[in-house]
Amino acid sequence: MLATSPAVSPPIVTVEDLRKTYRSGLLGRPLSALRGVSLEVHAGEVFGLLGPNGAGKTTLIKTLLGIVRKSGGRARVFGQPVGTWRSRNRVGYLPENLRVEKHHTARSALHLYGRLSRMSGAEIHRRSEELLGKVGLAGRDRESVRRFSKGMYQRLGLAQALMHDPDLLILDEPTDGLDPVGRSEIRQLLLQLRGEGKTIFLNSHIMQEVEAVCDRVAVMARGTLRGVGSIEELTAHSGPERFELVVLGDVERVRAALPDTLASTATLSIDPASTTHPTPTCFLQIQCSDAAQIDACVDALRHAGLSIRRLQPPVQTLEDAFFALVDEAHPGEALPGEATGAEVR
Amino acid sequence: MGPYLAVIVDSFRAASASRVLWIALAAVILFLIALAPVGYRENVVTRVSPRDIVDAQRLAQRLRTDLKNPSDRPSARIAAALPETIQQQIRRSDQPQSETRLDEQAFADAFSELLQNDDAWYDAEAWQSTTRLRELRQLDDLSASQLSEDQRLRRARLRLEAGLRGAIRPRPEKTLSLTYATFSTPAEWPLSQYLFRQTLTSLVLPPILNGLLGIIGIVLGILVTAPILPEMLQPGSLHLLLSKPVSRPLLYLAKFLGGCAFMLMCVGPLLVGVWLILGWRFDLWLGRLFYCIPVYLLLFMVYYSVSCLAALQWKSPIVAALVAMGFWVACGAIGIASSYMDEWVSEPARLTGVTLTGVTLTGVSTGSLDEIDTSERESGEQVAAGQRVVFGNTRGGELQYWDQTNRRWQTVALEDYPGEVILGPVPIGNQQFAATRKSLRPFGVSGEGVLALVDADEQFAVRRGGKLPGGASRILSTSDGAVLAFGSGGVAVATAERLREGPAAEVSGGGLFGSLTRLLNSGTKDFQSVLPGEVFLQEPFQVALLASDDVILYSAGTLKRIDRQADSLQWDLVASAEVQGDVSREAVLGASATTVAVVRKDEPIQLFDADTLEAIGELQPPGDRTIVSLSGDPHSDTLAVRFSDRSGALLKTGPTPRLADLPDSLSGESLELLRYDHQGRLLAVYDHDSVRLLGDLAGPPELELEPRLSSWRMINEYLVQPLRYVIPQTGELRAETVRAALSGEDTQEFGQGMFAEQVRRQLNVKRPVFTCLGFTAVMLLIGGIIFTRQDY
Repeated sequence: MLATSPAVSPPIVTVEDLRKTYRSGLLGRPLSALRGVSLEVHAGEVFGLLGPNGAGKTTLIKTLLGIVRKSGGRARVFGQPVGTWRSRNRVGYLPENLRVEKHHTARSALHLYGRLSRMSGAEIHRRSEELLGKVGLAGRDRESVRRFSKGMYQRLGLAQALMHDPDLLILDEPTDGLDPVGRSEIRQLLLQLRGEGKTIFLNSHIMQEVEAVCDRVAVMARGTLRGVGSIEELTAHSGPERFELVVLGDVERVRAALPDTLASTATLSIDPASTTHPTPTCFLQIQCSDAAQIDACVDALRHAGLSIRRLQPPVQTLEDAFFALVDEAHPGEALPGEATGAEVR
Repeated sequence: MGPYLAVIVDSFRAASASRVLWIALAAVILFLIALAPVGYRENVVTRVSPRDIVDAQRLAQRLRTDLKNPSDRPSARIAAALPETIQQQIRRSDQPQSETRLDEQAFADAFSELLQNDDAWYDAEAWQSTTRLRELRQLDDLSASQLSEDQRLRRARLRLEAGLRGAIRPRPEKTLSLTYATFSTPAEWPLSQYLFRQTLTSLVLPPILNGLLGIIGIVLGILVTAPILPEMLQPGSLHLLLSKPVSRPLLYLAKFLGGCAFMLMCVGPLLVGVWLILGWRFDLWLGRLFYCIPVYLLLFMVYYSVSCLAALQWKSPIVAALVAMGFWVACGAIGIASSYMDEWVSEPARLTGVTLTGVTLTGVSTGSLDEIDTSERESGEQVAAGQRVVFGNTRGGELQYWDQTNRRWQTVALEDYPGEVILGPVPIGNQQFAATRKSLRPFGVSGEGVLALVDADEQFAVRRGGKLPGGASRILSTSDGAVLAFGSGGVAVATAERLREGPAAEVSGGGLFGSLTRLLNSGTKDFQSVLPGEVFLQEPFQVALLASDDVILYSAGTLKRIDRQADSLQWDLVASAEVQGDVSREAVLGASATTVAVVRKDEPIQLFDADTLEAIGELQPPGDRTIVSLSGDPHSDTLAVRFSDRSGALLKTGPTPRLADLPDSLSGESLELLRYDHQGRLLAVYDHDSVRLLGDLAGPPELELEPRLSSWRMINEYLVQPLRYVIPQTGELRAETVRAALSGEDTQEFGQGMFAEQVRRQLNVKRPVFTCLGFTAVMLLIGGIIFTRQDY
């Protein structure tokens, strides 16, 4: 965990009511990619950005980097308006699907990107040595990138993003296309960077990755921010919870034993594997608003002579939270791009 | 600048990683290997060739006189030493029925034989009176033992030239033949090293370089560099670049400049290789060759800027290459259209001479020059006696007169006088003018060389006048209407009355030989030679007629004044002077009331006293401009100067000679002609064929003619030329700027002799550079704006 609470550390990225509308086609048909996004990223935190395709995640990143111009709202990086070279000078960026020209080796590519980040030759040399080892490209640094695998490309991408020792790293799908081993290595590297106190802005649609490395997560859909907070905050519940019980007995006996207040919300099913047993096993799901209700349920079942094998409290994953948030505002609606076929960047 | 330099350097790396580049470099090396054995060999000129004989018949006539009157004069000693058979032929050559006519070959063989033993005819004392070239003086200073056989023969040849001054064309010390490794071409060129190098740099190298770099290199460059920008615009590459702390316009510019690396890597080695070969094989260390690197790079930048703009828009290398190639074709098409318009519409319309009645010839004047009478006269209607007539000669070889009613130049029908250059017109009295048309080609003197007499009083009807001497290249008229003809045959005169009688019948010679002989004859029945015996005309020559009918002649480095005898058609030599400098170069001559000015290319203006021809001073012409014409004011010490860039100035030849600006009414005009008339008024032709005559330089013009444009010229003026200014002048950049860069000259000359001024053309050196630079800058600006404003 962070040494400094994110809440008290100064914000590095500040986005307020950020809007971006693209124009497409001959008539300039407007297509809103960001519809009033507001968030803050604090120094030293790993901030994850989740969302389905077309949610506006990449547009948000490109706006922060000045690659696209905002249509409205405010966005600042290190207190500087986005797009200024001062703000970009302290940012390291790994784009999705990095392309490095074929005539490069890892070392020459790092030299070029170092120069573009206004580093001196000596600095470039020193950092190249350090980073090539760190990302696992030592010994292959003089090979043409033509021979590089996708994983090696991503490592090279990470190395170039770190070349000028930036305070903020913006990583767009850093593990995209990697095999499990590659993903694990990148994840380890991110954790290492987090340990070094780097601020990381991570755009990913891999829930486990975000869950594993991020301190806070924002969920976007249809160009809006649906939720932002720590993993715990996003997965925390309020209101009635649904419990699952495994009871030894047939469905009819279990239903008859339930108190009237719970019977209407209960869902019962037989474990198919237990149908050949003398006493079948029944799965019971009930919705309880407080602890007294679950106590009453357990008492009623025990009173009816039924044996309770397991009582499972409710558990919500980030994925559950993600789907809940994405589907919250517009339940049943298709996500952008799914309905129209259009891709929102 | 670090990040942008890194992008440019990276482009060099990308270019050096390209296979196409290595293939191109391999082709360049193969070409250089094939070129390396080419060289030349110098041969000492020790013989006399038929082409060296100026005029066989005149020479025979001269030698015949010497044989009849033996003396110790050099020409008589040479005549006496000739083989007996030749001497007999010379003696018989005045007989009309003589069957054996002496030709150039016979003389060349006889003279070459004489060279073997010059002791038989040379006598140092007799040769004292001859003009000896510096080369001969140096050889004469050497003892016999110090001379090689070649030097001895060369000395004999120079003695022969000096002894027969004007009869044998001086040849440079050496001729050249081309070699390839150990092989040598049989042909020899009578070129000095200077001329050979000039030919190499202005005629041979430009087309070779244009083919290799201007066409193949450019097409290859467009194809190879087309993917560079689309490659950068790929999201994975572009987003990373744009996330760096760099300026987008500068990044675009750096990528553009980086793309030029390919061209630089092709052009550089080729030109360095050619430079080394020229230096090693031709001893020509042509540093100017390296000017071609920026020129070809600029040419490539024009097309590459278009390619980059297309790449920004469509992000496709194929489309970028196609658009750039399309633009290349469009530039070529507009360039060709423009050249055709120049050649067929614009250039032919340019006036190279203007003749005003009552002005050019005081004796023929029918009154002072007032406004042209326009009262109720329809085109082609008879001109009333006393009306002013204005003639113009065009570069297209037309003789025109001014039709004030329609404000147009109308063409005088000279269909029977084929050729490209108008001689005259000169007034011969009674509203009558003499003119003719001749060919520029050395042996293409078309027609019969007959003068056309144009009657302004009879709807400009043309009838045949007297026959011009062969080789006549300029005609002037005296104050009493006699016509002086100047040419390689000398100076001859015919009275107006004689000309009006029409051409006299000539004695018919035998076939082609006879025709050629007649063409080269100095006199005809109509024209009589007027040069004093001691005066010869030798190329290159020029002539200026003074108001008093006296003539200043410039002939191969010598200046002569011949004055007309009172009431006669005879001229006497009264003064002579040598003009310092290179005698083989074309000269420009002008004479004011007090001063004669002579200037040759790359030399200062030399000033001489008009009466005594004593040198009185020099003046350096303005640095980068070549003087193409000089014309003196007959009433003051001022000369009008026109430069090859069509600007002009006034040369004040007082105690401190200086160049003064033209009056305001002429400054800034594109001058086709600038000269003084015989009344001391300044006549200027500008904007192709508009005429302005200034009596008082500060006052309004006395005469102003501004013709209406023909429909073709309107198309050229309002469509083709604006297009030419909008698109970069890549054709001119390849053809003219490269030629000027290689030769170091800003003018191009065609032909020789007195026509040279008419065909000297200013090369467009700077304008193509500016248009190409401007176009590239605009393309880059548009590209930079798009790249900056576009979301990616």
